Amino acid sequence: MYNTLKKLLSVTALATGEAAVCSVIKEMMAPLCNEIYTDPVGNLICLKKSTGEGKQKIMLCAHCDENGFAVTYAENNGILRFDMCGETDLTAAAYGDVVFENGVKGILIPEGTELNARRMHIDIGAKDQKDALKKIKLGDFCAPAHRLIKQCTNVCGTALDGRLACAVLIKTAEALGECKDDIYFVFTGRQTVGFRGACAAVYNVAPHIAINVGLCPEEKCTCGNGAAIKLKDAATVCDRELCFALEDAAKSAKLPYQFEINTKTASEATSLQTTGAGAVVGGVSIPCKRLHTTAELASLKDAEGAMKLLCAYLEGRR
Amino acid sequence: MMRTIIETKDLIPDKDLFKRLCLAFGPTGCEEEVDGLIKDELAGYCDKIETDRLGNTYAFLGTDPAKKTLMLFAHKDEVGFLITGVSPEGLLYFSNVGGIMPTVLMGRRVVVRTLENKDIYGVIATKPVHMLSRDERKQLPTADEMYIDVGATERKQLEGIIDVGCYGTFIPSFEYFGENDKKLAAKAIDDRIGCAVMAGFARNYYPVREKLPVNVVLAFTVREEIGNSGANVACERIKPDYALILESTAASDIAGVPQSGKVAITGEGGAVSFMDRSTVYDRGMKDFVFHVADEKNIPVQLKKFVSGGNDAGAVHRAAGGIRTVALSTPSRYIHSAVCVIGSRDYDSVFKLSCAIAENADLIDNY
Amino acid sequence: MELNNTELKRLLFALSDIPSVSGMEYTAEEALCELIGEHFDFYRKETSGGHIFGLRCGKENAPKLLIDTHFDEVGFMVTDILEDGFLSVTNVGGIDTRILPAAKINVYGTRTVPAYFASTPPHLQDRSKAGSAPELDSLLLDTSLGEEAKRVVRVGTLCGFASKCEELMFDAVCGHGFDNKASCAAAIAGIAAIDRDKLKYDIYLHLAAREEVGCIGGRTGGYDIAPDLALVLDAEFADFPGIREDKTVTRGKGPSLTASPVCDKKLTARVKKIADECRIPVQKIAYAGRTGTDTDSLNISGVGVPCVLMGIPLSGMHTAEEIVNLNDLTCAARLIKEFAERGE
Repeated sequence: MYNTLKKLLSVTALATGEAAVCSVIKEMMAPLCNEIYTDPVGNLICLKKSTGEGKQKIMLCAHCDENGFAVTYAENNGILRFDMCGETDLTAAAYGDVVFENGVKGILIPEGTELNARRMHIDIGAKDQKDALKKIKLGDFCAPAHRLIKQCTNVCGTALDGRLACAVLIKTAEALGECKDDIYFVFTGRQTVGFRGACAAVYNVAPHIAINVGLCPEEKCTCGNGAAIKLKDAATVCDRELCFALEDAAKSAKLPYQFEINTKTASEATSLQTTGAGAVVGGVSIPCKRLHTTAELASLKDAEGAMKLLCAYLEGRR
Repeated sequence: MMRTIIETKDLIPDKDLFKRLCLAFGPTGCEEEVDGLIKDELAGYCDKIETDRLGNTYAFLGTDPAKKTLMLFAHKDEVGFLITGVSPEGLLYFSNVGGIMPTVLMGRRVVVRTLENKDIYGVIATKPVHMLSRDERKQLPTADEMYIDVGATERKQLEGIIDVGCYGTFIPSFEYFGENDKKLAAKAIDDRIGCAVMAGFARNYYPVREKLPVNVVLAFTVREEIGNSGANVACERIKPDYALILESTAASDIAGVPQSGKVAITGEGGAVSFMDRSTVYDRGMKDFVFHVADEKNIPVQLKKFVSGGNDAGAVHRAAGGIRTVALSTPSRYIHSAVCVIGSRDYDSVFKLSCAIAENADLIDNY
Repeated sequence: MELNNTELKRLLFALSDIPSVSGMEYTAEEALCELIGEHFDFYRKETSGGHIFGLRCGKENAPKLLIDTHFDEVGFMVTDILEDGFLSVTNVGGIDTRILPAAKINVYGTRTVPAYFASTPPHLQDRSKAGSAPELDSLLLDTSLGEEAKRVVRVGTLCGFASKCEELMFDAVCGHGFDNKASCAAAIAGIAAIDRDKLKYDIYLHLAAREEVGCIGGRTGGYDIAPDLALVLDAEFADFPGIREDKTVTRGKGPSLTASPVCDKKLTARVKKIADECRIPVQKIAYAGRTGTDTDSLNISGVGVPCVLMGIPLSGMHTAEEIVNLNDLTCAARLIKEFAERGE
């Protein structure tokens, strides 16, 4: 899990720039799937087919874009103005490194005590506007520089939101045994800007059951106590039969588990539930401390747990 | 090398229609008059024209199944008012249709369309300044604290004339002004300019539509201003491969605003956003548009701010996802009785839209 | 079916008794089929948990009329099982927590058990908190089940208001879930009263799920059924002192028709005309943007659905004691019957 996560964090990819990380994912998923394709808005869809009878389509999705910034203007003195692309916590990001998708590096500088995008700038060391625009274009995207620290069974770092869930999906595809249904592993884009990629993905796949895999804040659950079965988040009430089925799967596989009852953040589950003819929607989450900061912390045990829970559920379906 | 079907200098924009469209009455939910003007203009200039159940109108140029489809979008509706009741004193209660700031409403003259389809004038009445408490003077009223005065003094007088569900809008205006008439001030430029550009496109390209590398569908949509857009219904119906949203966006090139705050500048061509509150735009499409503009020497600018939203928000995630870009005419004082644009921007946006369609087969290379 | 207040009351009370907190609507299949199945030709489930009852007119290529009345009501979800059978819960849909202390609640576990929201008696209340609304987090549900609680309830179990329906004066009735069972009752009665020979549409009655948690069933059902036109019935705010008159409608003066950019003007005018011709009283209300009902999502589902929004005036929305007037239900039912029989 750690190595997979590390590979996924080797590239910076924000909304609409997911192709960069998708190519890494594609390489890992190719041997595990029967079909792989990218839809018009950049979602990567990987299908693992089954020969079972009366099979259904089950979609697992995790987002592969990350939170960061979009450059809106270069001042005469070469500093860059920006706006938020996603929900980076600026307290943690201030004075930290940022990396552009083209590799250019900069520092995020606050101009006072008030931390918001209008009162901060990015310094890439350019001496003036012209110099700055040689390195980057207006409208280019950057994100806090990735870091990843392994602390006991935990990982701490940047952009775990998204990438760790992607790692869970990849490991699930790897570990998954015989199951009766067609499983779609979907790596969605544009999640950080309003769960938009998932709308297209769920429309294109049209699954019976859709399970969102993601990170959730430690509201009623705790890092290290197992994967969290999503009951409800700020935008979605999950299908309760599916919640019960996930819980039963966890119990029979003797996995520790907890529940996500989250009033703070929404998830792609809302897009899954409301697009087209809809789907039966649930979620498996990994509790995360300091979500959206550059020091997100999650337990690798929970991530493994999520992977085992998904396998147990999918293999156990009759 | 970019393709040219009609030389840029030979393209003829539909300016007369633009004026008529701006003057027409069309708050969200009341797009029929605008729709009528468009249909009259397009008669004989498209392969077919149809209207869906919500009131979106589609004009088709080219129906070759072997070609991909580019859909252009402009919305027919404008911001306005919905009458929600009549007070015992004969004043009209109203709610804003779309986002309107109270400061551009207070004391303004407006038009209300009666049950018998007659347009009457009214004035947005507010409490006299003399009677305001010190605190009230500092606070802006909401639409709930304002009324439209149409001259009546008791509810009875308006029976059968105005009722719940009637619509109103700002008074029509269309006037060029400034040095060499370089600016245009008009009602409802947002987004009659997009409608007029599309109509102009049809009139120029209908005779040569076979030469276009894509089928073009012009979608004149309803209900953009209230965020319950008809655009995703349009996508579900047509399932286009690419979408070009023709819009109007807020300009802030006003004296005193620092250079970094001038997010889009009137007179310097259409603005292309890389991101707004509803969409992060397809990067390839954005690059493509700039490349086309560069090759054809048509002014275009990058919108240097993340704000607002438009039909792209619904379009890019509809029907399984559609590659989407927006080309917006910068407009000062948008969502008021007068939108002010650069007079030449209309031509720039029109010509660039044409060039995009002429080369739409190249989008996949970006 | 006869269209009168007695029939509507019977239907409304029976529907109110069927548990349907958002997310558990699907469990009502059997009860619904038994109660109203006889009036329809077919039944099927909808993805998000709603129920679709169909009535065919037997004509070829008849237009599809969708009648959307959401069937769910607000409630609670168990988040933890504590000592002696106390439960902590979270809200499902918009809940006014001020009304909860000491309210009776049904817990829909492996069997339905009664419970009460714990309330701190005034004598023991922290003075500094007097006057502020309680947080749902601090309100526990008392099942007094002891150890048995863990066998009956699991995390995720849904709970709802338990009040029994009752009659008030002047044809008014009170009970829980009238938002939107009042509309369901009116729609069912109206359809059941249709003269099949006159019916102009294939009718799809969609008792939709999950309206209270984001107008979900209306949207997915609209896509699934792909109707040619739709009539949405939902509760509308009734008069209340201090709320400006144009924001509300009056109980007992008939259902309301909504003017809004999301509703179809011509269709709404047609319904109004039918009401006038049949001397069915209707009221008017206007929303300049979205209406807060299934109409918002339904009308832009699929290739678009022209909608009419009809409202049943209702007081005390989202409380355990909602009030409606049976005359409004009867009028709405008559109007639906007439609309379906008259066609274009």
